[in-house]
Amino acid sequence: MILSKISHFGFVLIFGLVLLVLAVLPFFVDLYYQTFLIELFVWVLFAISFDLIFGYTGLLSFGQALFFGLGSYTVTIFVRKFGFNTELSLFLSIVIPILFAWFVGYFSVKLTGIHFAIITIIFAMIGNIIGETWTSFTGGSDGLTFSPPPFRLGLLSVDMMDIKSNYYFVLAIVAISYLFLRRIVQSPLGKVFISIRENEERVQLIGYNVQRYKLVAFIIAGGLSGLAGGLYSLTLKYAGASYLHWSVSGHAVVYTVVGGMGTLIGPALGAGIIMSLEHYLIDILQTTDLVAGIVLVFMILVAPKGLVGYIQSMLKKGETSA
Amino acid sequence: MISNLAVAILNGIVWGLMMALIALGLNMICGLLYIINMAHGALYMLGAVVAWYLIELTGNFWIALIIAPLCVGVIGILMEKGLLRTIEDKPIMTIICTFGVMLAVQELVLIVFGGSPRRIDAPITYCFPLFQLQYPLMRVVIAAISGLVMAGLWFFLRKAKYGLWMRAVVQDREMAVAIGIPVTKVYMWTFALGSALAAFSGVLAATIVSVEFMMGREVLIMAFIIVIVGGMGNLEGSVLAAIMISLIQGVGSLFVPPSIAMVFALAFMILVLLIRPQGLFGE
Amino acid sequence: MEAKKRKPKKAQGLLTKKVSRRDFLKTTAVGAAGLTLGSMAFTPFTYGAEPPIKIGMFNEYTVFATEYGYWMGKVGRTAIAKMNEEGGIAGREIELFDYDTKCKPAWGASMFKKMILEDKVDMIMGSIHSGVHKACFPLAEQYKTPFFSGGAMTYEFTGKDAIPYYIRNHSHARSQAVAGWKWGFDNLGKKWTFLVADYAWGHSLAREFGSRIRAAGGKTQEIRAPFATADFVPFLQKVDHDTEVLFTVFLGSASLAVLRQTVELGLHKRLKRFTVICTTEGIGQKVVGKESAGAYYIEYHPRHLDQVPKELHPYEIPYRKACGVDDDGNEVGNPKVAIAGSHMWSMWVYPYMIKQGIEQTGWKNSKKNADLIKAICSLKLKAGPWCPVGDLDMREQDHQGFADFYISRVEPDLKLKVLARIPKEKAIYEPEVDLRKKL
Repeated sequence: MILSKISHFGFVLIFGLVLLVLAVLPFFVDLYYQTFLIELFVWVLFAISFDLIFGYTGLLSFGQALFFGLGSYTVTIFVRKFGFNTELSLFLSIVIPILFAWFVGYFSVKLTGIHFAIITIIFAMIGNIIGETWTSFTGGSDGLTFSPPPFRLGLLSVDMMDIKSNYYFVLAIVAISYLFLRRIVQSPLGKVFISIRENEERVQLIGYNVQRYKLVAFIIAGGLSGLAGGLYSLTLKYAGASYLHWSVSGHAVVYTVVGGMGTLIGPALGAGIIMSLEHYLIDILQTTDLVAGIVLVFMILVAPKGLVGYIQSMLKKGETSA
Repeated sequence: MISNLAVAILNGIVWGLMMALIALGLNMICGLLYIINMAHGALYMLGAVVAWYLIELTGNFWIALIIAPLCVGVIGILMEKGLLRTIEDKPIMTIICTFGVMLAVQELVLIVFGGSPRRIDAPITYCFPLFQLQYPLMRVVIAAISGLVMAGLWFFLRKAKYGLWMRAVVQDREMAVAIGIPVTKVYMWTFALGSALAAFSGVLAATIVSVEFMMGREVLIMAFIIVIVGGMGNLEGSVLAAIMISLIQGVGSLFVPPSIAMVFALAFMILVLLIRPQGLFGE
Repeated sequence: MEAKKRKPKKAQGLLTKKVSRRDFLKTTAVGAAGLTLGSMAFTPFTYGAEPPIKIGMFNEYTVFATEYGYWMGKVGRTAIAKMNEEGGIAGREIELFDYDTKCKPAWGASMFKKMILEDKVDMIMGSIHSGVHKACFPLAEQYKTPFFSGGAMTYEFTGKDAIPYYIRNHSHARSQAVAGWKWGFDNLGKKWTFLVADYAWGHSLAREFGSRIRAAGGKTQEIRAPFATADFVPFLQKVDHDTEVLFTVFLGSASLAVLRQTVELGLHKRLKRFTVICTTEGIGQKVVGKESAGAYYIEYHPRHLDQVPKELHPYEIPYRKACGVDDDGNEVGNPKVAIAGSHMWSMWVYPYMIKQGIEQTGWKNSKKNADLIKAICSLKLKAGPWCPVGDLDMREQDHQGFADFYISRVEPDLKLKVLARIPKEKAIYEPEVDLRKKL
């Protein structure tokens, strides 16, 4: 009881602290480090959106790349081909993936387990094929570049070409998304998700329309994956068909498992650790997939609840023994 | 047009049988052990790579065809014993664990074997005339081998002691332990057999597609689709599913651009999954 | 990395450098090797107090197309090391930074940023992946960093999508088509089928060759197959019965499979196989297999030494020796590793072009990048130790380079025999942009 009160206060404190540190960081680190962090924020968003359906609802989807890619292409194409402004395009990068997630999810949630995973992969494969071959629209694997105009909201104007502005912009959006997801998983809705993960049959028996709840989770995750893709393209000023490949979804799986599924902070941590390892190891080791694979296997066997889970279980042990 | 259709149908069946063989190892492990082996494609690739080294050493394809699967079977045993034993009953865990193995194995092969594709010469190079074209006999041979292997496996599972043990373990694990079946051994040997089959199909496929560290990636998804659509553990089902996918793609490519044909094949798979999630022939 | 750290030696100034290069140009094949070693030993030079010139390089070392990355990287490092031994550029040492693109546009762009923001490089060269290049365009523009293409084949990069900071000294889909279509049309046949991988590179080669064939009255057919196709039977059987030339465009194992299966189906008996060397660079015809005998390739630099034009041998031989390549176009000591000979020369020539540009404009730092690029893109290089491909003309309007092409055929012994040399003038097409105003 006390632990949960402390944990809530603790969360606010830690979140605030982390945010503060991240906010002042640009004054102390070089530009490359800032661009690295921006990419990290994007992948954190992708990972936590995956955590919602996998960690909390128990749906293993290897198809999230489809929504990420859709989001990134939405922003790029609407700015470049239709001349929309950045705000509207970014907004659409949430909306359009939501629509697709609705469609894909509607069919997919009728299945469970490996069947669900396979069907999501198949949808992603279809998206990938279309992206690669419809080169006149998507630029195929070469991709499309574009120059986004500044993002305008009321009096606020963010210049996407300026790294620092870009940094704060992405940080703000990801932080808000994180809080949004946290709100959801702690709400009654979130509790239903967790129940579905734990015992789907029982939830159905109590009277909940399990498929509908799964669809809701899937749609939210799809929208946030799309947002991640949109932010990614705004940062890189580029979108390419390679983002639609199902192996991109694999990143989210790795980050979530390593960090700790069903915790939100776990995937964020996982993304941070793995991406930092990747960037710092390249001077020593060019083969980061090897390390990622070994780490993944290690984590699953030794600490299946991920780092966060491990820490949590340590704390719990401490509490009971005290 | 008739000749085109005839070639497409023949090739669809032949290629379908090949794909069914590739999916066979996965089918066994999925159907009997309920382990989702994402590393299946990597094992398939390892079979081809090991065979390549063996052929370099001995110059004999058939030796490599026998020995490479044995080597990979050993790797399969190591995988099962060392990594999967503690998580065998948790499907999500096994998916992720084997996914990690896939990543690591692929990179390792890249480092050791290199990134460029190499070839394995087919032992049979005769091509028989077929309408206005020729058709390589090797493909037909592979399809025949595939059929034989699957038939052999079917008999093994129905008649041989070990096969019966495997089926018993699947049906009721506790009861199997009670009767005195060495369940852990069964798991281990099943996984070894599944890995060896993956490697076996890799060696054969390499005579057509060449050996490359990435060759498992595309194959993996196709294998999964075949297994799921055919019904996990259902041999006849996967043969039918493989041939169906192959035919749709092959015949479809005659009329529409192949990427579209592929999209159709995939969409068809989605339909099957939705309408009959237990697979075409599953229970 | 070979080029990074060197201790400065005692000076004898620019005179010594000039002498060694002149001697170089005079020698014959055998003498060149000895003289190279000699000149390197007897050419002391100094690196003064000026900071080094930083050049960034990135290539596909892992994931895919690694046979390209291996050679591009090797030649790039060797070239920079050699240039440093000869005195660097304008008396300044060259510091090379080398990264992997992992064949991913996002990662490549990340490394591009790292080189600019962290390593503070002055310019960047390398990579053959068009997606990586595209993703780096916004960065090159934003940071005004010259980006020298290692080997991207997308024509539009020096066409309608061109940016002023991109420079390309090698060929691409359009220049290959402009140079090669006529020989194929006249010698192989007038009815072509393009069997290409269904993505940008495949489409562009089919379009560039196809449009010219049709304009000359020939007939074309296009069949697109997925990039990683293993079974080509469904596609090969769609090839028109009266087709005379089968032009295939695939990479990796698919390129091996298509050549092999074309023969297995017996198509080679009634048509000629034609493709660009890009499809089998770094792989070697022995690996492609004996089925490839009789196939025709467009090369940008012959793989075998005895096929290289005689007048280029004085430069070709030391170039091969320095890069560890034997006369057969394989790695010295590693006969199974074939070179990416038609592509890797770009990395040898770029440092020289950069050197020329810097010494011509008196470039000291990025403030003069625009002038540097203008100078580099006006270069008309003559065949030489730093330009073993022969004469190379850069074009100012679109920053595109033009060199000779070769049409080769695979002999029964699997050697690539040059049948025709297509002079660079035949590869010229109308520029689609004028970048001179944009710098």
